[in-house]
Formats: sequence, structure tokens, C-alpha cells
Amino acid sequence: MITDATGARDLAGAYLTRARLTLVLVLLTGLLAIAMLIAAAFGSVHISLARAFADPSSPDHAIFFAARLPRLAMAVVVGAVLATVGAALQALVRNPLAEGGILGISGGGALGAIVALVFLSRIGGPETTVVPLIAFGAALLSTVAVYRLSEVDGQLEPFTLLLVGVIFNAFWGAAIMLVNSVVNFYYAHTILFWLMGSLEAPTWHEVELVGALGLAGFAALAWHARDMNLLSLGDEAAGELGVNVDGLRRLIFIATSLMVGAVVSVSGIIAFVGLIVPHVLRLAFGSDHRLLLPASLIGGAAFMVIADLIARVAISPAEIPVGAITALFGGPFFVYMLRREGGKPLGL
Amino acid sequence: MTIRAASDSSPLRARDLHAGYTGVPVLHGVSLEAGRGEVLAIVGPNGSGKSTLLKVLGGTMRPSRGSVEFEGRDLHSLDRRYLARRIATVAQENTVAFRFTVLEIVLMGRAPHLGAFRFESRRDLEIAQAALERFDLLPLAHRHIEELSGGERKRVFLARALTQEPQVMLLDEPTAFLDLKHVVGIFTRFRELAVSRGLAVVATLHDLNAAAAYADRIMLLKEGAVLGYGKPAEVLTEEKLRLVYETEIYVGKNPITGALAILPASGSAHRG
Repeated sequence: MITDATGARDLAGAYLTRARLTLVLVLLTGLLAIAMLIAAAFGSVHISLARAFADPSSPDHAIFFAARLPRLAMAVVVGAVLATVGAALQALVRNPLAEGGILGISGGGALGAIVALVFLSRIGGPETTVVPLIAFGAALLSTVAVYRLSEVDGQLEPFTLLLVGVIFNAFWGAAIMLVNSVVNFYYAHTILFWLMGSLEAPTWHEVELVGALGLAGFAALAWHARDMNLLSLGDEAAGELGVNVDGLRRLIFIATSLMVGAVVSVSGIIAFVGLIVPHVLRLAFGSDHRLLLPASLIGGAAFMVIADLIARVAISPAEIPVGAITALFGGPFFVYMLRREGGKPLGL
Repeated sequence: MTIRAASDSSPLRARDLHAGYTGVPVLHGVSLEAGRGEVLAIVGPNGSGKSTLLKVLGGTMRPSRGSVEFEGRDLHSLDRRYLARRIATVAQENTVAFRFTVLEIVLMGRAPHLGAFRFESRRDLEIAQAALERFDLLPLAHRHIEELSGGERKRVFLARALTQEPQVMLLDEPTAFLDLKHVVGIFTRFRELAVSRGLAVVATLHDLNAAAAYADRIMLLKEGAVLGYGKPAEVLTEEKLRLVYETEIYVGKNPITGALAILPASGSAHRG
């Protein structure tokens, strides 16, 4: 048996240790903190952070605490959730091109949210808590439908999966436009906002709700991070290594749908975050999901904070929907990933 | 056909297995025992049910009739993770999504021994390292799996299976697509492992000569039925092989090792 120090040192860096996990997460947290500081300091209106803290009656204080801070918090929550969902869905379908937006889950959730909102506000119901739940239900239905339709002889067919996802995405988009044309003009702006994805004017209640649901979903996923590693070897091999594959699949369906439903109900469809963030992190730190999931949580938050800062200041005082920013980055990135691996466009 | 009496030295035992896919029966009444310390080779032509038999033995496929028992208990009544610590399977083809290093893949063999949040301990690392060494993979430990050749990848998955510290190993064509040197190397290692650890090895094999040279016992399958089960010399006879492979076959002796040597005895362009 090899117990000498040289042998063990030879293998350092070739696998995930607790020390490396801690180091990477601390590093990313530092990055997030810097991004948040910059995003807090800049905006369409110039404010002084010093005055905002010193003088509670100043306009700086009001802007900072009532507008900028909740929006910053929402960017953190939304980015963290979307990136984690992307990483988990990629593990589920064993394909780095999977993501809530691309697979049509966000679209399903958005349609659910819109229908719920239009209907509930007509009967004067308690929209803020119920809307995310209905979005979750619709997202879950969409996920399961896409997944089932992509199975050929019990095997998930990557090409079919992407095609079905794209079709669902377009279908939900069309359904949303249909709702848009039958409801009164009052909702038209709201619906457009959902389709583009925006972090405009969130309330603390929304931040708390999405944050809580997102954290619960993340905890469920992170608990199974090792199983997701084993899933990379294929369903059969994972089963032979002790993973309850059907159970794990169900858990990922439910957790990701819950998370996407919650996010979509407050921010609309923000695509590509779940694609870009896990991919970059995987390249930088390896594919072990015990690291990838928490790293996506923090990295996704940092990414969204920056994207939202660009959305706010790029054409200030007007504002670009943040979903447009992520799509502008994400579209070319998606094409790059399709082309990257030469003969293996799906990275399999 | 002779089937050895049940004994404590056989952890895995199958009785009268019938199995198949929807509408296509594949196995017709297969019984076998995988004994500690021995290598059992399952041979037969394409489509004879070798891989299906291995799946049923590993528990990933349920037999429609008959039973598989591990240490006297029905395989399907046992906990998945419990089984994964005792039976390791290496499939014929192994794909890996995402970039993992060789060491990461091999360490995945420790998963059934570890809780959800436990990191691999020093002992887990030593076990993986020993498995890497046994398959000459230590210099490749840092490499990403997709950069390796087919033969190297195969060895990575064999090392992963060994890292599970199993009592039974089920190998589906462990030497397919490997060159002769590695075929010899892999079988020599599994013979050593079988003897030194009391491991029961069950391997499906295309290569009759490898089966003759390295297996303690051989099961000969044709269309899902057992045509021979016993020591190589009893099973690999010209008569039985002719029946199974539907061609003339010569069985002689390797003059150097003394093992059986099996050659096709018809259809050569250079005859006469």
C-alpha cells in the first residue's frame, strides 16, 4: 500500500479536496462582494454612498435603500438560482447545453405566472405568494413533458432533447403572446417585461420569497451533488454505484422547476445564465458537482449583478431589460459551445 | 451439463434465469455460481445473451423467472448501496459526460462507501491509488478521461470497479478492442485479484483463447441456453463449439502455456 507523502502529493490537484472547495468558494465570494460594491455605487442616478448611510432623510438614502438595494438583492438571488438550476439540469441530461430557458422550463413557468396573475388580479386574489406556486406547477409540467418526449427507448436523446426544448420554448412564447392579445392593455407592459426578463422594482417580500424557495431547492440539489457526479457515468453505471436514478431524476425535476417557477414569477425569462456560468466554472475548477453547485450559486449571483449593472447604466437614464443583456452575451456563447468540440457538437 | 453443488464459497448464485426485453426472450433457464477466488468466463456468439445475463446478475435487469441471490438473499431485496459495496460492474462501453480526471473517475468507486457530504479520506485515496497502480494508470491520474485512448479508458473503469472493493466483479467484454499485451495484462491482474482477495470474477468474452487461458470455469451460451458449463477442457470441445458457432473448429494445445488453443478449421484461403 502506498502511504508515503510523495505518492499522495503526486495526486494533489487531480481530485476535489475540502481545502480546494473552500478556497474556490472564498475566492468567488470575494468576487461577488466586489461586484456588489460596484453595482451599489453606480446607477442611472448618481448618489453618494456616504450620504446615504449618514443621512436617513437624504434622497441618496431613499434611492439606495428603497430602490438600489432590493434590486441588488434580487439580482443576487435570481442569478444564483438560475446558474444552479443550469448546473443541475446539465447533470440530469448529461449535456452542457441544457438550461432552464433553452429547455422551455422558464417559458412554461412564465406562462403559468402570467395566466395566474391576470386571473388572480381579476378576482382580487393574493397574487404575490400564489403566482410563484402556479409558475412552479407549470414549469414542472413543462420539464416532465420535454423530458418524456426526448426519451427514445428509455434513453435520453440529446439532439431530440434540444429540439423539443426549443419547440416548447417557442410554443410557450406564442401562448404568452396569445394571452397578451386577449387581455386588456393594462397587462401588455407586464407581459412584455416577462418575455424579456427584467429585475425592475422588486419588493423585499419578493426577494425573501424567491430567496427562500431558491435556497430550499439548492439544499436539495447540493445534498445529491455526489450522485450527480455518478450520473455523468450514465444511468446504468450510476445505478450500479448505488444511486437511485429515478429518485434523483424526480428530485432534480421538482427542485429545478420550483426554483425556475419562483424566479420567473418575479423576473421573467432570463436566459443563458444557467448555460454560461456553470460552463465557465467547469472549465476553471473541474466538473465535480460538490464544487460546481455552490460555485454556480455564488458565481451566478456575481454574473447577474454585473449584467444588471450594465442593464441599468449602459443607456442611462433609459434601461435595457437584463434578459436582453444575458441573451446578447449568451447567444454567441451558445453557438461557440455548439461548434467547440469539432465532431462532437453536443459535448458527449 | 453439470452444475456444481451449492457451497459457501459462491457469493453470487443464479437459478433458472429467464429474461428478455419486451417481446424478445433472451435467456432460457440459465443457472450459475460465481465462486470466490475464481474466474468464470461466459462465452458464446453475438446475441447469445452474454450481456443480458451480466445485467441480470448485476441487478440492473430483473429476470422474468428464476432468481439471483447474493449470499443467500434475493438480489432485488437488497439495498442498492449495500450491493454497490459488494458487486462491481464494468460495462462494455463507458461514456462520461463532462470533464473528469482519471483519479476523479476512479474515486467514484468509493461513493457507495461514503455519505452524501463526506469527502474522500486518506484511506479512500490509498485504495484508489492502489487500483491506479495495479492498472498502470498512476502517471495518467491527472489527465482528463476524454484525452485517453480506448484501452486506457477501459483500464480506468476497471480500476474504478476495483476501488469499490467488491466481492464480485462483473465484466462485460473487459478486453474488447485491446491489443494482446493489455489482454494478457488485464487477465493476469484479475487472476491475481481473484486468488489474493477471494474475488469472484464473471466476465463475458468473445475471445475463446483468452477464456481457455484465464478462466477457471466456462459457460458456453447459445441463443440464451447453456450448452456447456464447467472446466475449459470439458466445455471447449470441438463438438460443442461446432454446434454453437456453426463452423468447423480445431481445438489443440498452446505448446508454450499448455492452455487450450482454439482456431477456426474451415474457410481459410490458404488451405492445402
